[in-house]
Amino acid sequence: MAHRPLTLIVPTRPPHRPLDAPLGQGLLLAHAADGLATGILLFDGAANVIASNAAARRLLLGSPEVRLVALPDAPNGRGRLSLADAATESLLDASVRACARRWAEADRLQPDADSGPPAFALSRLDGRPRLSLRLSAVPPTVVPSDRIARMPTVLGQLVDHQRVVGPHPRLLHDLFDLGDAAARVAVACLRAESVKDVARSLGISVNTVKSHLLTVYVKTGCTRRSQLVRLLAQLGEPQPPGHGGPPPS
Amino acid sequence: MLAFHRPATDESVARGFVPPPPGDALLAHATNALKQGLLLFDPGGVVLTANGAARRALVRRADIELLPLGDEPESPMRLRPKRQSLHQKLERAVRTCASSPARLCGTRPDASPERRAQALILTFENGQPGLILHLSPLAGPDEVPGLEPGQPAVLGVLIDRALEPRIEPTVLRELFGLTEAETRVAEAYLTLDTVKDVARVIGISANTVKKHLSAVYHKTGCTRQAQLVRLLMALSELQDDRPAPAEWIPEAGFERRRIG
Repeated sequence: MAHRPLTLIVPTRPPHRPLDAPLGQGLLLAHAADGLATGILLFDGAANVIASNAAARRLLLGSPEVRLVALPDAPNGRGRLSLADAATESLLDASVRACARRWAEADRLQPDADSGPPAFALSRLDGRPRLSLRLSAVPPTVVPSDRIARMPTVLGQLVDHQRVVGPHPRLLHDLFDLGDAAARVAVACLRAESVKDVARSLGISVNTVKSHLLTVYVKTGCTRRSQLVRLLAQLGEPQPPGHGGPPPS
Repeated sequence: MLAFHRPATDESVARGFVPPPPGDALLAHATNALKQGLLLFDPGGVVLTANGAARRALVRRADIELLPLGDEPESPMRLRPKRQSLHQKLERAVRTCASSPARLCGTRPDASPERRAQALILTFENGQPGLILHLSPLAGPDEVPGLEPGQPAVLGVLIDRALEPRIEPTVLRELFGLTEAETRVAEAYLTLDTVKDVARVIGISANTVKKHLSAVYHKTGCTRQAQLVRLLMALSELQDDRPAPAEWIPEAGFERRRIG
């Protein structure tokens, strides 16, 4: 039998996405992540939370059914998610692990039949989910020490269903030439359930709200409330730190 | 024999074969995976860093650029709209957002973070806003943003209107127990408004749409269409369907090594 040389094909570069921020700016980007309204939890391959942003910690603070339990000796913001419902907790654990194993295809978006659910309802105080966690695999990248981070990580985005943060009223002025009062009514519509709620939250009469809404509809070209909600949600902004956020109950 | 690169398994991580890098670097890594563009400004309007989504959104636009101020990959940058008036407006907006009347002139109501937040339309495409930049102050240790050059003071969130909001099909099923048909109807409301339109797009009758819709309302706890749209928007993520420019498609980084 002829001798054939053995060849090993080794990767020299991790799959990369073009134009990513260099991770040497980790601290700066972590600062940016802290300014977002979306909660960010980063899991390692064993479903430990290895990083979290301020919004995630704030969202979990008010929720008795899901807690971020610090691991012994772990720095602030790291630990494990502990759910009141043990079955969901083990399902979440399995999903994160499955998601981490798929990091190599993360950019090719191939749905995987046995990858477990990509979304979890985390809090069901009134029988309906209030918080949800969406999982997505993060491909490996190069860490500051020039080492290739081959550790698979999973990005979890924590969303409060009742909170869509609307645009700044000034943006509505620039986009649609809305006056200050009309813009404020439009943004309040995103959060309130009815015209009455809007009137109460702004301290104005129902008729004033209605007349402002008419202007809003004419100027934005919307014909129904759902259209307006969609438009405003798309133009949404992050929640400024130190301002609002669901009060920890 | 060919050996392919295998990802570290969760077992190997658990046994400590791959030591985890510092958490902050990982969080930075996660911000690169976000679909939302993030820019971090210092009080003078210099962009200290931008995540992947922001860089990718800006590089596609002809009328605005993100210019590096040095040769290092980590050099600060400047966001330069080609139009001079917009350039000045942007500089003013960042400065207003970063300024802190509370510290400079005593406590004033207009010092609140909400009052200092700014929003700008950076590009127009076909008469419609293309890129929108929201600016909000980052609070420092004593609730005021950093005021020194080089300190992060303002967070910019870049919204690319060319991206479509979408929900992964399994999300609604997992969260609310919707069936496949109900999920299709619910997702249609991300872009459509009337039963008639939804029926036409999905290719089912209006009565079937109504039937599914009432199940969707019941399962999600919504009572009105605006509420449903708000919920869908909260759960949606922006998707980029545009083909990537050829130079962005990563080459496979493999190397042959003789071992025998």
